[in-house]
Amino acid sequence: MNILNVILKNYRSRLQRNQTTWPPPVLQRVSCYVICVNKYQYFVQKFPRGAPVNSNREENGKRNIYAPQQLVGVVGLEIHAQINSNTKLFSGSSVRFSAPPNSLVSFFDASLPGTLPVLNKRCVEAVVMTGLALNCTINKKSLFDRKHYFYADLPAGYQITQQRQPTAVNGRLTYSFLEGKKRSQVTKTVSIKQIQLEQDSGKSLHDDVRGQTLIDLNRAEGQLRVDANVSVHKPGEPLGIRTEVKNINSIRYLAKAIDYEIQRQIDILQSGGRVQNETRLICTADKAPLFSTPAFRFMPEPNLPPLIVYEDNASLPAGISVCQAVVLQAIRQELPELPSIKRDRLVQTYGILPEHSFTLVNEDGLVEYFESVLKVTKMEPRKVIGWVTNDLLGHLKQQDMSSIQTAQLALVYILLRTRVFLLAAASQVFQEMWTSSGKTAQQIFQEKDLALVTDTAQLHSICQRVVDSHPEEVDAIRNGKKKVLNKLMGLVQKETKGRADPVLVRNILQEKTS
Amino acid sequence: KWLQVQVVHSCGPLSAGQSVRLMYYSAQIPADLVDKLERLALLDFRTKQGLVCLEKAIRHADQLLVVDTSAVEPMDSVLEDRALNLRDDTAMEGDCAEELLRLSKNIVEEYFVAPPGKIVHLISVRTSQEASLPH
Repeated sequence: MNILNVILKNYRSRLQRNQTTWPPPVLQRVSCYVICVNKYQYFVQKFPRGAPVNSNREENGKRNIYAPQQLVGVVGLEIHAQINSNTKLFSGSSVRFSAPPNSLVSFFDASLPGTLPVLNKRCVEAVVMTGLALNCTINKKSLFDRKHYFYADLPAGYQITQQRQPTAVNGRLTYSFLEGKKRSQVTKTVSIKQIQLEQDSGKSLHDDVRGQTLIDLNRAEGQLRVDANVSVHKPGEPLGIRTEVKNINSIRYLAKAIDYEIQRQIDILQSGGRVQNETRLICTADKAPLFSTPAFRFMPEPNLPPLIVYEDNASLPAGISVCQAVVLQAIRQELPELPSIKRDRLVQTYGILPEHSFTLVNEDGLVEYFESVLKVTKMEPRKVIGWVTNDLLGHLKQQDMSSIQTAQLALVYILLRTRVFLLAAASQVFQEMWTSSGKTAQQIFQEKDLALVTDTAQLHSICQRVVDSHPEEVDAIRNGKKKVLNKLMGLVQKETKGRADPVLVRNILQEKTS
Repeated sequence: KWLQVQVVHSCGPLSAGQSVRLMYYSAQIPADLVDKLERLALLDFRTKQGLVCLEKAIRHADQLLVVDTSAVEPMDSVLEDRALNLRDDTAMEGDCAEELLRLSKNIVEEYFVAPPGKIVHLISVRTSQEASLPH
């Protein structure tokens, strides 16, 4: 289930940081809807009661004493991600976090009679861009439907969605993750059934004390919501009855919930029961079924004509201006570099490990930071990557991630001063910067006297001291064990608090130990 | 049987499948289906007249089955030849909480108030039966 974590982690981290990098439309405001279907193999090695089945042994020539029940789990994910837009999908009211309740509600959002939906162009561009990024076929003509159900936070009694003919279909996402102790790269593909635009319902707060529900129709929840559809079957046979698992509020629990549900269904089937088509909510230990899947009475949305997306400007019919149309060619050009391509590029260009490319791409701004460090210092990428992924990230994780901006500036200053990139010094500066507020990198640099020690006389005397107090190591070096020099270097750096010019130190030590 | 005759009269011969379908609907609608319909539509129509009305509604809709729609794309919107108007992503509406909240009898601070959980009250259709379905 780490697989799912990888795909969904990207979405979530960008959501939290209000990013506009890929995936561009995945954040905030009104829903965009993805279904992925993937198959997971679960071999249940449960032995049937009674005598073991020996027939396989002779047939296959294998030592297959027991016939395992080969029930396979099938998982479909429904991902609701909000689009980063200024206004709502069908009305011109704005979308903002933490606005006072019902302050961002237009007459249409309140479902007052006589109001009509007007589609937001930005949302169409967003769903098309997502479709292109996920290798989907974009339906030039897509339709809107009404999905009916009764709930207090849905004043119209229906949601406008795109069930029958959505904007994007048949996509796929290829992703890699690192598995096992050796961190070997595994590549998998998940297929995407469709991506559609969908209206969000309002927000309801349950007041159990007074037995009432408070409704806020603002609709800016800013969350990534995932529902899992799970069924089991024997490969080759038709799909089993599916259950829907909702109310999963973390990616980690998504994996657990799916595993649990697959096992639960396998247990039911193996004991001769039947799986019910129902919706189950996650709530602590019990996963009691809540309600059977309602019938949504889908019907075409009568107030919206079909949505047409055009290939290029040339194919725009007469009377439709460019500003009124969504054109595929233009959106393709706006697509940024996708993560997998970026990771490959980093590995190819800098010779870093795939593992590191994941870390770089997963944290916003880190790739740019890494590349600017390389450009200015001209240090070896592998050296820098170690520091960036361990030290720097360690610091940043304790702070707000926007500190990477200030880290950038501090770094530039240090580099200009030292001309040799002293990683230890940088760490110290960052540490200080974030614990004692207000001080700039310059101030800390001067205070801590982090300037490079290049005074050869001083270095000579320190090196001499180290050499004199470590005769065994010196012998080892003279006998051919050159790597022991690093230990002596470390000791010198310790004395100089990491401020010695490493090149000079190495030369001096080599001189003294030859 | 009377329905079959009527249809043959107006639209030409029925296929075997179509006539079987029409005959099924002259039978009673199963109780659990009525249950489900009531829950989905939030309507309470489980009276003798209500069920008769339902049956008539189904038969009325069945007239569609008689039309030969092979190789014809369904028209699901009378707007299908219109261009869909796309709106610019600029905030022009909203900010009328006071006006909206005034419409509700029951509010708490700036929230609308609803009864807890799922709505289960069914709306009786007894009075609206007179508003008729043609048969």
